Amino acid sequence: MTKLTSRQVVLIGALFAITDATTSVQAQVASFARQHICVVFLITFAVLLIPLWMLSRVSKRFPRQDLFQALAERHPVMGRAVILLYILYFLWVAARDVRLTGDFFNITLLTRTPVGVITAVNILAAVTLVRPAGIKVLARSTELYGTALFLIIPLVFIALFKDLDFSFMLPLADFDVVGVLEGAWVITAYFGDIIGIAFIVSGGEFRFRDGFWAMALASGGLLIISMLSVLSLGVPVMSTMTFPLYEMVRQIRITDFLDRFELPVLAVWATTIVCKIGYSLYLMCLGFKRMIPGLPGQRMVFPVALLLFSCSFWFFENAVDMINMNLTMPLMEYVFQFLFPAVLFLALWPKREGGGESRG
Amino acid sequence: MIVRDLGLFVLAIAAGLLLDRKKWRKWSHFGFACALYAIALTIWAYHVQSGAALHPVSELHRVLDRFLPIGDQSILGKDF
Repeated sequence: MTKLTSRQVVLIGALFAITDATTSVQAQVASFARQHICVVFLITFAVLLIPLWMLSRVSKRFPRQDLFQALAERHPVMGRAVILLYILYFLWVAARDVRLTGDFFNITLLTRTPVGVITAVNILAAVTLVRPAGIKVLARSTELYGTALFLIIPLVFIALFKDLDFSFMLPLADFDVVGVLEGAWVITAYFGDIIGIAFIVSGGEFRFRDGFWAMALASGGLLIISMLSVLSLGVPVMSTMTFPLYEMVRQIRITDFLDRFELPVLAVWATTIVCKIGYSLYLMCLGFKRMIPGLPGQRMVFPVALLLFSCSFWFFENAVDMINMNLTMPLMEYVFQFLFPAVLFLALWPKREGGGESRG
Repeated sequence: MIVRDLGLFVLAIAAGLLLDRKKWRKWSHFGFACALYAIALTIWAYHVQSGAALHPVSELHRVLDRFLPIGDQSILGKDF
């Protein structure tokens, strides 16, 4: 059983939440919440602490097992059904990430490269991270690239400071509650992927404190970047762009040497999204391993990766559809991010001393 | 195009089988991996051959879209 350090868990959680929330969904959040976009991240932060707390409590009840293992042992049939549903959920998350990244690079940088090739390269990179040593290599890669990603945020702030226009924040008093809540509805589904860390960390080692700091790092980081985007582009412009944060970074010109500052930023971001695809891939393989006793998880990586490749094309009709479904898909995602953690919290209640099982 | 896409996918499956050829403890486990490959190939074949008429997540989105009154159902939310 691989032990992860507290720092690794925080960074994995933060990357789980932040990486694909930096794409086109930002434009939708800006169009809903307008100048009060920062409130959206505070709501998201507060709301997602609830499932993280519940999963941390469940994890503590099984000191030598991961959550999938606990499910399969306590409820052999229903537990396996829930594991299968979570495998499908992580397949959906990974397929969305793969397709988002493929479309993004195809639109912005690699216009002549087919999406299939970009997608294949991304998945192959994730496979090379997961296959040799499971979560160990992934966690170490996360320490490198996750740290780099979060170090970029203050750099962007310094580089953009002279271009910020604080009048874009006005009128401050014109607070649209419904708009802010709609923005929170859209972005929380992306941040909610963070529940994956509770399944990654095994042996009852997932602590609420780590989940809290992961959420704080992710929502704080994205809050700063989104506010910079609002203050440099303005809400009307930001909400009509497909990739507003990318456009914001493209504005940065630091002498001739850093004329294309977006390239190093994208290089770091691309590696973090590969890491995130890797986490989902790892979780799917782990799920299969727990569902079928004795199944070697390492040998599941390649078949699952190929399934992920074909599903990333089959699931979504086109790039526009992927943006549209940010409005409706949260309904499905919240089942896995809020409802199922509550069900696990109750269904995996500690057994009563003396053999009887409490109803919870 | 279809033959090329399918051929490359079959090649990837062959590479995967070759990578994992050793130390399968049970035939049923190997069979499970093959079943996953078969599902992946079927989906891919459906996608490249039919131009995929059915996209499950997009269809689900269309169903839910009727019931959720969020935004103005366009890709950019509200108009200013």
